[in-house]
Amino acid sequence: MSTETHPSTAEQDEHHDEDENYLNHESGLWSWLTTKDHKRIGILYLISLAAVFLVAGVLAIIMRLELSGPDQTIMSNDTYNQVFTMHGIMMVFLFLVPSTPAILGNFALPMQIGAKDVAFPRLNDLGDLCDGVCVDLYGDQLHRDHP
Amino acid sequence: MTGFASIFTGINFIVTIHKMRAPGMTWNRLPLFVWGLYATSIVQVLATPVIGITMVLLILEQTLQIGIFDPALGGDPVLFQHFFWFYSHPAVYIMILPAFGILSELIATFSRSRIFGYRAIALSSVAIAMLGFLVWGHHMFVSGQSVISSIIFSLITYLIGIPSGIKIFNWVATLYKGSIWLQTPMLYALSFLFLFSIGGFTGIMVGVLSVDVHLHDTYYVVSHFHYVMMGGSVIALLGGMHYWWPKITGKMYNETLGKIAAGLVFIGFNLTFFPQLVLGAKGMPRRYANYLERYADLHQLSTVGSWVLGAGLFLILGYALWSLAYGEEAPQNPWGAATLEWTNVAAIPSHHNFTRTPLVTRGPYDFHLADEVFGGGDGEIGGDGKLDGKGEVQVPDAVPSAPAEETA
Repeated sequence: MSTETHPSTAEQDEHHDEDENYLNHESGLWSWLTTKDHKRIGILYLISLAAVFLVAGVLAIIMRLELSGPDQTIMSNDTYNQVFTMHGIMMVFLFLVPSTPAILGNFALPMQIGAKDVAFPRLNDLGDLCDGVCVDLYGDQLHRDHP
Repeated sequence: MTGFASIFTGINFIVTIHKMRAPGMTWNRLPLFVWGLYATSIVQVLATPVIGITMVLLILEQTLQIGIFDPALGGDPVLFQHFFWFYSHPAVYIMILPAFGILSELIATFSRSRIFGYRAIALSSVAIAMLGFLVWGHHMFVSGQSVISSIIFSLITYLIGIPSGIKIFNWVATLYKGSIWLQTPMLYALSFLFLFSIGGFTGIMVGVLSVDVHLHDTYYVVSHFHYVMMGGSVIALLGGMHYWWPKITGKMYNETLGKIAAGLVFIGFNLTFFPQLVLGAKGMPRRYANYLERYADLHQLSTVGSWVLGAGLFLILGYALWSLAYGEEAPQNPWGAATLEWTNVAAIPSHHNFTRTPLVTRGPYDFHLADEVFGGGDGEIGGDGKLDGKGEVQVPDAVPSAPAEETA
């Protein structure tokens, strides 16, 4: 934190002691996307991974609906193939592999060992952005499969 | 891209755990969640490049028509299977090891007893991470690999049952004579013990070479890995999310709804996937949209189960959002846990987590001090804890701070 003189800064510092926390420390979408705070990165992962889990979970429900009867019920065999493939890929590679380390690990690990942050905060944010881009690409692919 | 994210996270955690521990936080005082993540990170860093290289080879094959995997071009499809499983089997441990870590935290905190066999749990994670690299061939028993290599892969697969069994045993031993507090996170932890055990035992069965030839590519396998992945990883993640939710958001969730949802998830999950075990044993192959009439009943049971499971998960989403908007303010340490993020960090963490760097003088599951300061986790505050006007607990640091010169 910078030190002195400017009255508004001093006020901010006072505020800082009282009830500032990592959630209201900075605000605005940009500050979240470029954050180096491991706790905020954990929350970003939580939001994107929850979205993936929701989509892949709905795909699972759709698969089970198709399987509620022995013959074709709601979709063609070809569509079924695409749906279970996307369900598997999204659940494993986009949800389960990152899930716990990225959400809870990022959030809790530095605090559990008594650290201020992870060793490479910028790398952490880069990883999160990579993951976001990847989810977009898969979403795009899914859209192309089911126009 | 996910590969890079995965490797970055792995490197970051390894270096953080090696270099950023607070004074007094020795390797034997690391919370077991940290040990789980440490083992995970090793696997992430070592295994992920293999799948990256495989993808590059696949792209080269498709764009430049170099024969690597495609037999029409002179390649070998089994090579792709080897490469794929050399990553994807360790990836299973990337998914389950952090779940083991969460479980250790939940079981210790909600039975308020010192974890049984701390070292055994910590080191078995690392053992699983290492052995996990040597078993990829058990996915390929029917791929035409030699019988000798299948037998060896089968044998090493059984070996992984040993550290996994050690963990389950230690958790149950921790529960024994503990004072168990059945809050939502603990319900998930107990569900995990049950579901993951089924996942593990069915895993041993498909690890048997002769049995696998019958069960390969049936619903038995589908059910097995859902018991491990969903009954294991996802259930543990849900438990962990409920456990850390107050620290992440500063709000409590609705405990009654939480318990109802945990029940729905448990019942729905078993209703969905247990019939699939039976289906698989009867010979229903996986990946087919249509099937014979005689499988219809069990399939319909499974479909109904998926609705119960879905209802449970949507209920969680619902009360999580409700809690964000209207939830009660969370106290600093609602569970009476003894790890640093509960004892030494404010109800909602500040930007830099700690006002003063903590000096660690005890293990992560020493509940005596936590009990004195935060009460037994039943909402009562003992010791020096006083309520201020806002219902927040004013507490002294349960762990003394390090002298200023050490904190640089």
